[in-house]
Amino acid sequence: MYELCRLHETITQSYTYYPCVLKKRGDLALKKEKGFNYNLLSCIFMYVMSGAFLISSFTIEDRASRTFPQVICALCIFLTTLFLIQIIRGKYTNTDINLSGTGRAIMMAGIILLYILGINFTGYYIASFIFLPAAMLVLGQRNWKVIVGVDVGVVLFIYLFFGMLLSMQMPEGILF
Amino acid sequence: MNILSYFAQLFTLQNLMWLCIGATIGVVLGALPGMSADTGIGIFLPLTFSLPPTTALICLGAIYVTGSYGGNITAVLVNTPGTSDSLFMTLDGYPMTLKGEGLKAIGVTTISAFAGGMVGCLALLFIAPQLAKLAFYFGAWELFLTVMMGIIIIISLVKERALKGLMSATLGFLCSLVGLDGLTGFSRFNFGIMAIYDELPLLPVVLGMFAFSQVFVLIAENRKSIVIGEESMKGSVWLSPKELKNILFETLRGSVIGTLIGIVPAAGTTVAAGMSYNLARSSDKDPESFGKGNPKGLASVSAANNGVVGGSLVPLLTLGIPGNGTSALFMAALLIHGLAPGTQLFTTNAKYVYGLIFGLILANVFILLFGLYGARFYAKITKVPSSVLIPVITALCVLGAFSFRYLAFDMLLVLIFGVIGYFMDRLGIPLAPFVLAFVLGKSAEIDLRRALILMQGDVASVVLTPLSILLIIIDVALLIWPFWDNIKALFKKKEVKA
Repeated sequence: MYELCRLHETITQSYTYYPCVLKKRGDLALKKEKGFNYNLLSCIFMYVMSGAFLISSFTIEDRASRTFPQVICALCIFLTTLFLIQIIRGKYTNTDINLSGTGRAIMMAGIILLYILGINFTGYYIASFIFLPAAMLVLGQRNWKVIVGVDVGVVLFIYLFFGMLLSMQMPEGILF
Repeated sequence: MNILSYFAQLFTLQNLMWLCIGATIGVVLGALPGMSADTGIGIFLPLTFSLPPTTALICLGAIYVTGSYGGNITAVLVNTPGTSDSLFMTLDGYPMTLKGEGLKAIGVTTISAFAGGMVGCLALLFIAPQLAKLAFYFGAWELFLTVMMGIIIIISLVKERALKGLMSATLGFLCSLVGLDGLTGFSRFNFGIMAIYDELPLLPVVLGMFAFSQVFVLIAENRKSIVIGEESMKGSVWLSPKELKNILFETLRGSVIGTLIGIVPAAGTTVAAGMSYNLARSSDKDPESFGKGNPKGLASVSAANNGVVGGSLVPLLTLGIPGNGTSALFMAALLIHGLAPGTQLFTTNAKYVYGLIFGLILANVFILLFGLYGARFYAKITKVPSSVLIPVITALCVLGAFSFRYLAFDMLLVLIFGVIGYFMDRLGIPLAPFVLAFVLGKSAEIDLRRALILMQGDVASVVLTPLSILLIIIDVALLIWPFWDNIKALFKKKEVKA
């Protein structure tokens, strides 16, 4: 129901909560995604993960140390195969799936990746000072007072609370 | 001196001031992603060297109590558990906020955390030495069975999406096996990455799965703020007598479970909260409403979470066995102040230990003050525009992930698991089983293997002890309980056919 609720929100672009109408609206949206069954993505991911762990387990010399992981790998492969069979039989469709807006999420993940890489070069404070306004702008914040206030306020709070009061070690960069 | 006189000694200006400082620091650190009571106690431990033992213990105790609660606020309001212990709060707390009951959710989690904490402290005060004897009977096999309770909870959590949930759990299990084998010391599944040579760190994974994935969900849904609609934070933080009555039983049961599980060394908050949640859900008339914003679910986990605090100090103070990581830090504090845990602590050094216990009780009162009077302030977080909240949460989570081991790689790890968590969420794969299996997986494996070594082929001598049999019965009952209605329906069908 919770997933359906989210689905409903994206369909209607309305910010109200009406559980009673979810099914009907959900069905309308799903007709668009009829082609590819996105549950197969889960299967591929699970096979890759369990395969990687299983192959790696054979390099463990101690038998006792590798038995438990191998049992879990086998269980994982078994459950994924069961899932795959049920997808083929049509039990799992795109009903539970909502990938709308994924492009935006991936773009933000890219920005965060740049931020993390930036920390390694410039250190936490400078990277955060650049990241915060950049992310706010990308996310649609246009009020400059808010952008500057939040940027300065957050970095100052982190510096005073974590850096000064708690004397915490902060991520340092190569340059600073 | 009687017990009440120990209570009276608490009311000095110095003690009360350090109690306030400890309680405030605890709530703030608990609420910040990546920080926890451990961080607070670790930081404040050197600062309390110069203080009298009672004052030092009161301050550290206050950090422990309110630190356990602080994570509830962010878990409930922004789906970001401040600590990994608070991850269960997100199950019903965050859906309550989404339904516009954020204030009520804070009220529920505050009242039940207070109740849980009080039950734990009262147990510590009155029945500590008797309860502590229980810990002696827990060997590797019994610990394995206790951890299994947490694993079984996964099955009940994903009843409706059983297959996807179990897949998620097995993935969590696999990830928990990354790093050093606890018995042989051999590093497994590190795939050549030195940063995960010893382990896949808990906090970056939990932060990624819950906080970062939520950040991506907010972006994907293009929401203006967390709450939906203008009047979504309606209602009051003060619960009506009817609402209190509604959560009373779950709160009391969660408090007792939390205290008892806290006493068992290494069982931890996750097992306590999970077990309490499972029982609340299984015994409720409307189990389907759990996970969708049921106050009973939130009350059961909040109470268990804070019940663990008092419980974990029982074996520490009486036997010198720390029940969890935080109480291990507490043991260091006791030793630094020249107080050896054990029976002597309750006789010759009674004024210190009772000072600590009463300090914990007063710190629980702070939970009420912070929760009920600060709720409207916390609730404003949910109205902060996403365009501001997302970058701030991101910056804090990145710092929190780094502070766990002071490794730059962990910042990348939180992003990787955030992306994995996002896709799992969007593909309808529940995240809670992954995290539960990840938290408990390593203990399950080590306890099982240790038990098998101890058995040396003689299974009966280990398995057929009264405690082991009792735990097996509880495990089986927990396994069957969620499916009891289905089993009954199956038997009824057979009878009709016959």
